[in-house]
Amino acid sequence: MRELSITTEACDTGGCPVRVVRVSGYIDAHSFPRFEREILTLVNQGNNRLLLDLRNATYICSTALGLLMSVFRQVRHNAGDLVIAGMSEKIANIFNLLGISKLIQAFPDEEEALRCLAAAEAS
Amino acid sequence: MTTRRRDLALMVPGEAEYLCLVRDLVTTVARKAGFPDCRIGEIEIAVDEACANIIEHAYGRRPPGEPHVGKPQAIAVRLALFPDRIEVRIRDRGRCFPPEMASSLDIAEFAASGRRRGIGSYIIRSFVDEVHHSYRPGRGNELTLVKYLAKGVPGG
Repeated sequence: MRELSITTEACDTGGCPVRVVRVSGYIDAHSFPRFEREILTLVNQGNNRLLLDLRNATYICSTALGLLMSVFRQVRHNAGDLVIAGMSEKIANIFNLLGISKLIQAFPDEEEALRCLAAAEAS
Repeated sequence: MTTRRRDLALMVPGEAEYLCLVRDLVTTVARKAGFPDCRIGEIEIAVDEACANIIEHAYGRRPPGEPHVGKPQAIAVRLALFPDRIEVRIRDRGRCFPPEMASSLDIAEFAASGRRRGIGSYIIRSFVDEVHHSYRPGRGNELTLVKYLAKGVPGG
């Protein structure tokens, strides 16, 4: 069991500024307040293009999924986007069952997600 | 007749920092029972949501980092492994808290509403095959979640 670790990095792909958020470990009722604080701080700072890398995430609780839906709505409202990269099969299944994958785009890795965000910005 | 195969039990304080122990036990046992990874994830999140609900609603929320006054209340988790299913019985000694039974979820509508809460009750209802709740004054709540090896169509 690995506790939550979050790192962020500013990326600029073809003039499209993206904040990459890499999550390791689990987001549950215990670690959620920290995840919420980190994500909302980024959004409130004006980061409207977010790439959430879940490659090393082991668990996401429903409250965190609700937060992602809320943030997705907010960044889309600001002409931005929230995309996800590198979900495990287990987490991807939860996204599919809840219908979240119909709204939030998911990519196999960061590179592909960044390419897509840059292409959307250019179009 | 179905023969009981194995029973495992775990008791943890009713505090969020111990939820990881419950998830670890549930996923380990479900894996041994032969559930594939995707369906283990469905049991894991349903049990985690149920235990988180106990901490928040049956026992009341304690601000993060603030110690309990007196002895922390416990959550007892008992797993019964049958050849065809896993049963997870979750007991607490809190106030009566029957799970909400949201049988459908329109995620687009949920996203548009700006709400953040409400997905958990749908998960508990839909990610396992059976949900049973009982409450006895003075004894607390008992919530039983059942997932069959051969079923597992969430929402079905």
